[in-house]
Amino acid sequence: MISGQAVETFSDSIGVNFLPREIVFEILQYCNCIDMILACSKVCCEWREVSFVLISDQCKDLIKKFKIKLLNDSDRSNLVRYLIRREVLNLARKTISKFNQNSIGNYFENRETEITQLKGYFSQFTDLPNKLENSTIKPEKQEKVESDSSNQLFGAFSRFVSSFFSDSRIDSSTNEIPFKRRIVKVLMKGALLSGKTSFIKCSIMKRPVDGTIRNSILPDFGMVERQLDNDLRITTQLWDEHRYNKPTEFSNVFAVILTIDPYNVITLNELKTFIEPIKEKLNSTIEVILVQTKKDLQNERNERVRYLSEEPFEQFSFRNFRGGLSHNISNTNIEEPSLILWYCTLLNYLMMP
Amino acid sequence: MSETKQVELTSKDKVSFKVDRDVILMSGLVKDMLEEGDEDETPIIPIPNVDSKPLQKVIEYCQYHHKEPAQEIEKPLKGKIEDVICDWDKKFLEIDQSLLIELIMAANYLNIKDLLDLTCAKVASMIKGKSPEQIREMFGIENDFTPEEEAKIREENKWCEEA
Repeated sequence: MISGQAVETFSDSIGVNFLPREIVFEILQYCNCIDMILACSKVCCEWREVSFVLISDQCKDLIKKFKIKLLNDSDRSNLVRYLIRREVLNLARKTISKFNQNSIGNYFENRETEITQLKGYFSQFTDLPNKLENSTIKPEKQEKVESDSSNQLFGAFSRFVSSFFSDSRIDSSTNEIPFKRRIVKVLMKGALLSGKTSFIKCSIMKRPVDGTIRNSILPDFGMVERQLDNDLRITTQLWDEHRYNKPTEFSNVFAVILTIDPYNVITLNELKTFIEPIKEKLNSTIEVILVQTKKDLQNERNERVRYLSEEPFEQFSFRNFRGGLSHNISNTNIEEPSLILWYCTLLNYLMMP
Repeated sequence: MSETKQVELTSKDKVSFKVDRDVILMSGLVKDMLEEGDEDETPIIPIPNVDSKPLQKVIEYCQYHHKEPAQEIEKPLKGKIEDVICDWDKKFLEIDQSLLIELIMAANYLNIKDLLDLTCAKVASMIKGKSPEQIREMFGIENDFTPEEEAKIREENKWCEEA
């Protein structure tokens, strides 16, 4: 609290660049770090200085955890991207139950403010339109949205393949409301037995694994379709690279889910070595989501020893994937992989202008 | 029964307001001034930095909140300010932007912490999601970055590429 010693006449000063530093400080204390990094710090020199002081305080735990130097542009960018992704994940967590239950529905009931705010954040990034070119948007006509039968592994796959050979327009007799379709392609990457197939089965088919370890034999592909707006339908496809490894596999990819079995990664160097060949294929427009699987081994069965804690994975993801998040999940639990799938869909949805 | 003691506040534009002493004691500045004066009189306190319009709003705020203490507002705000303040405050904040800024300045000058917190939180909620240009326009702030700094800052908001 600042004692009143101002001698300027207030009404005269309004609108002529007069807000004392103490007042700017008082106001910005109520702003979060995202607003301060994206906007407040870019208003003028004084606001920039005040913002940096407050960001240092508000984000002190993250700054320490990720060894962030706030004056470093790259570090600051990573921090804001991390914070925004975390907000999207929080929104996904709050709305996951509706995602699991409905093909159509108001996923964002009473969440309009959060949606608007997050869309506002994304709109401030100058390079997002390029990213959105990766998504396919087709004006179509409303069809009767199918139930989760479309989520069956082979049903979804054959439906996807047949879509290349058939007229994509739907019988107009069903409904005349036009809508847009967007396909969000998500690639699964990871070593054998790191949980890619289980992730697809669990998140899309709602079939959690029983703990038996098996190599995949059949193609792994799944997709889920959700109508998020009155006029937008998003189909999120999950592809397992193991079966579709070809030069074009990264074309039109929105996100890569990188599965890692943390019980097979003993040192940080091993983690780096494991990710390096994949990393060079990823261009900066692709979202990379690091997913540590098999959490149940620690929680329930306690069969194997985990050598690296979660923190090195978080730090690795933050540093290598531009403020990327790292998740620790189990495919024995439908909610956890479903949350990541829903997060991918939401992220794409919110980036839309 | 003794009469409630009053204080007379005179605004910058020479408008006088009689207000109960207990009410205006919410102001740290007035409280300090009253402690120095004679308690038997109705003191006249000039408030030379505050116009009558914001001063009236300040008195209105004190009249309500000297009996109903305001709840602390979280820092930073996690959602809309309307979700964390009482209905009376919501109604109180239905004012135009210039009066809101005048209220902030008045609350700061008169040292009324709860009012300063409320008004600053309101402004922060208005800033939320705005671009730097919109914020400058909102407050009439001059962009004082050098062209080099400005070019560098413009490059900062990149999602895909490293800044």
